[in-house]
Formats: sequence, structure tokens, C-alpha cells
Amino acid sequence: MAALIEGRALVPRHGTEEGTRVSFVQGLRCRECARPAEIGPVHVCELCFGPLEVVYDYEAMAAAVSRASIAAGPPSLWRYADLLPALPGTAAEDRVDLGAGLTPLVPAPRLGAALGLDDLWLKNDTVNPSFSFKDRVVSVALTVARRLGFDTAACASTGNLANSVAAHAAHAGMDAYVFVPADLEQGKVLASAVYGPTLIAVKGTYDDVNRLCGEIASEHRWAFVNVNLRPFYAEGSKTIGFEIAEQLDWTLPDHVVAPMASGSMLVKIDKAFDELTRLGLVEERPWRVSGAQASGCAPIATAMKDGTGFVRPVKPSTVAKSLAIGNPADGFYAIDAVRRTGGWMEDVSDAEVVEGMRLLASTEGLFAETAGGVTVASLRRLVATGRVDPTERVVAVISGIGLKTLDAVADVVGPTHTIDAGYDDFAAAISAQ
Amino acid sequence: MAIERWHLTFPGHLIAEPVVSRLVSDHDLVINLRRADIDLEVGWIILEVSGDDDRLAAGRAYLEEAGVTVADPGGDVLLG
Repeated sequence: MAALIEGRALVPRHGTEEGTRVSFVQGLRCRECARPAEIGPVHVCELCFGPLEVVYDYEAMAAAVSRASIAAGPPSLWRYADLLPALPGTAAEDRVDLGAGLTPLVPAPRLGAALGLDDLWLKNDTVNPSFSFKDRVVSVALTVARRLGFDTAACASTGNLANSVAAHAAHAGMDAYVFVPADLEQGKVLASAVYGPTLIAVKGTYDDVNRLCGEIASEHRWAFVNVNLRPFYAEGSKTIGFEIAEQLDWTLPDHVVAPMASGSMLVKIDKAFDELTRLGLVEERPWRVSGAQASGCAPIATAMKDGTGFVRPVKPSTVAKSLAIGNPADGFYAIDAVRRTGGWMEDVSDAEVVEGMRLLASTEGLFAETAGGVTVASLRRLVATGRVDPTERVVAVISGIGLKTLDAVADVVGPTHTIDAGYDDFAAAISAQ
Repeated sequence: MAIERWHLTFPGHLIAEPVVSRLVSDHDLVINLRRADIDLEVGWIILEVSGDDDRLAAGRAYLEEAGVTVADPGGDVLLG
């Protein structure tokens, strides 16, 4: 299968040496009708408009990839390059790599005790270069974008994705167009603008921004990471699952709880565990995945809980803006993964989100953004309702740093005491505590 | 002539209504059904819709006014 990119053919040569790397990418395929598609900047099937996904040669991959080969790789997500859509001809130096990935997986005994869990772990993705898991997907997407000949990156975002695209594009010397809602908090705007993209604030509702950016994505030959590069972009989330297994000494946990926006991260963690099992890198055993949403934008959890599996678009209204995706592209597939593995989904109020953030910070010293609060609060419900067994090994994915959403906790935390600068004032305040 | 892709979600009370056919009869749009999943309670249809810009806008407004959710089949572009 050959893909025409700017008039030249990009021929997959999976299983053959390409400089220092091997690519196992065979092409793209529709997840709905299985119709194949050529490698290129496309994300939906031309026949049925279903989503495209990357197809790999797993037989060749299994023969080449081992725990040792992965351990010999760099201390970043690119240690799993053989399991990612690095296109033929992509050398290590071609990667758009700020060092994302290989983030800490830490035991969380104090939070576990508070939630009633014996063996809780946190996947701390707040420490990525732009402080969220989006660095994983953007690093992969822009690496593919450069290989496909793009010199301009783009995205539409309410924060994390904008930060990450702007940062990675700057690092790669690519032009960047970043679209944000005009009413986005100043901190989030500045955290993207500092990298020097063309940052366009769009007035209107989220629907208006979506509509405009969909039109722009179809009109300009840009690498719109979550549109025309989505099949490749989404694969970056698999590295969360790969890392969890490797950091647990190549075993799978019993249960992973992940926040859901589009639903893609949860789907890809499940896919990662399946691939590791298929490749013989972990012992075959059951695992479960469960999803977390904010009640103010819970189209996937609602469809799971009402039993229909039918994801109806909603208009988001929640403090968890990083999860405020009213029309989630992977909702159906997230429900499928959760049902297949025996997991569940929960959604929580904004008050519970903030309490979840506080609980995580006060028990484990980890300040997560609102999505982390959603995950912790949903996990609490999953335990309380018996959907998570207290003795299970559970990994909760903490996807972004709390400094991005300070406003969420501004009204509920602050100085314990405000005193005049005298020792007696201090003593009085403490004694009254 | 413009072409758009719409993901229509129907509430239960519209399942039996000829909503899509009215896009053709009342709004002069050409529709091409690509995928669908409909039962007695709820349903969705993915369409390719062709027409001039004004008619497309009017057709979308008609659907939304009737209670049909019109979205992009690829999901939201605006992410977190």
C-alpha cells in the first residue's frame, strides 16, 4: 500500500531496517467497516465516515520487540517506538521529542486508605514537559506530521492540548496555529502564548469554535493534530498503558481508572494492555478499565449507566474544562472497552471534583488539575458501590497539573490564619485552632 | 454547492417522524446515508448532506429546532 503525500509515495516497509529504526506500520483501517486506507493525513473512512486507526504487523513486531529492547530505549515514551506509528524512514533524531512520558507510577497508601483501597497507585502525568498527558499524543502526532511533510501544526483547545502543541511546535521549529475560546482563563492563554504560536481567540460558544475549527481544518493543509492526524495522535496514549506495565515489573494491574474527555485515553490504555499481552511482553491475565467524567459533561458515563451505550452529545457545563467534550469521538469505543473488561463508569459533581483535588493533594502531595479531581472522586464512588474491589491493584491516571486550574480551588483553600507580625498573635491563632 | 457530514441524534419521540425526508422535500438538500443505528427509544444517523450554504444552514436549524442534535461525525475538534 502506498500513500501519496504531496505528490510523492510513502511506502511502508514494515519489518525492514530504516536507518536505525524499524517500522511495523502497515496502513490505516476503518474501525467500523474495516475498509483499508492509505497512510496519510486522514482520520475518517471515506465510505462510512467511521474513524480510522493504525494497523500494525504484530507478527513482525513480536519477533523484534522484547523487554530488553524497550529497556534499552530512551527514558521517554519513545522507548516504545516500535509499538507506535513511527512511519517508515523516521529516525530517532526526527522525533518531535520534549521528553514526554516515563512519568512516575507511585504507590498511594494514604489516598488508598481514605478511599478504602489496599493497593492504589497513581500514574503521575502532571510532570510531562507541558504538565499534562497531552504531550504524549502531540509528540507522536507531530513526529508523524513532519514525516508526512507538514511544516505547520494546529489544534483547538481549552488548555492542555494548546500548551502542548505550542511547546512541541516551538521545539520542532514548526509554525503553529492554536485556537482557543475567547473567554479562556488568562493563565491558560499565556501558557500557550509564551511558546510563540499564532494564537487565535475565537468568540462564541464551544459549538461555534468547533464548527469554525472543523472548517479551518478542512481548508488548510496543516497538521491539525486531533483532526487529520487523529489516528496517529491517539496512539500516543497507549504509552500510559505500556509504562504502567513496565513500571509494575511487566505485570498488568487489576484495574485502571482514567478520566474521559473524548474517551480515547481509556480506549488506548486497554489497547496497550492487549498489545503487550499479544506480544508476550506480559503474562496473560484479566484487567479492567473504568472511566471517570464530570456530571456537567458526562455523555459517555450516562450512556454506560443507562444501559443504551448510546452516546448523545451534550453541552458541557463543568469546572473540569479539560474533560468538557460534549461530542466525544471515542465514546462508543470507551463503553465497549469498559463493558468487555468488566469495568464501570462514574460521573461526579463539581463539588466532588474539587474535594477530589483536595483529597489527592492532602494525602499524597500531588496537586492535580480538575481532571485529577474527577478521577479521584469517581474512584471513591466506584469503591463505595462495589465496582472496584478493595483488594485490587488499582492505578488511577492523573493527567494534568493543578497549577493550570487554580481557579477551581481558589474559593475553598487559602491561609489557615492571617495574623499580625507578632509572636503572641501567632500563638493565639495556633491555640485557637 | 457545499457538502457537509452530519451526525444526527434523535430523541425517542422523533424516531417515527419523517425528519430526514423533510431535509429533501422542504429544504432541497441531497442526502446520502452512510451509517445508522435506530431502535424504538433512540437513534443516530450519519449523513453526507449537499446543498448551497443557505439551505444547509436552514436544514441544520430545522433539525435542531425539531430536537435533533447535529454534530460532526468525527467528534468535537475543540479538546481539553
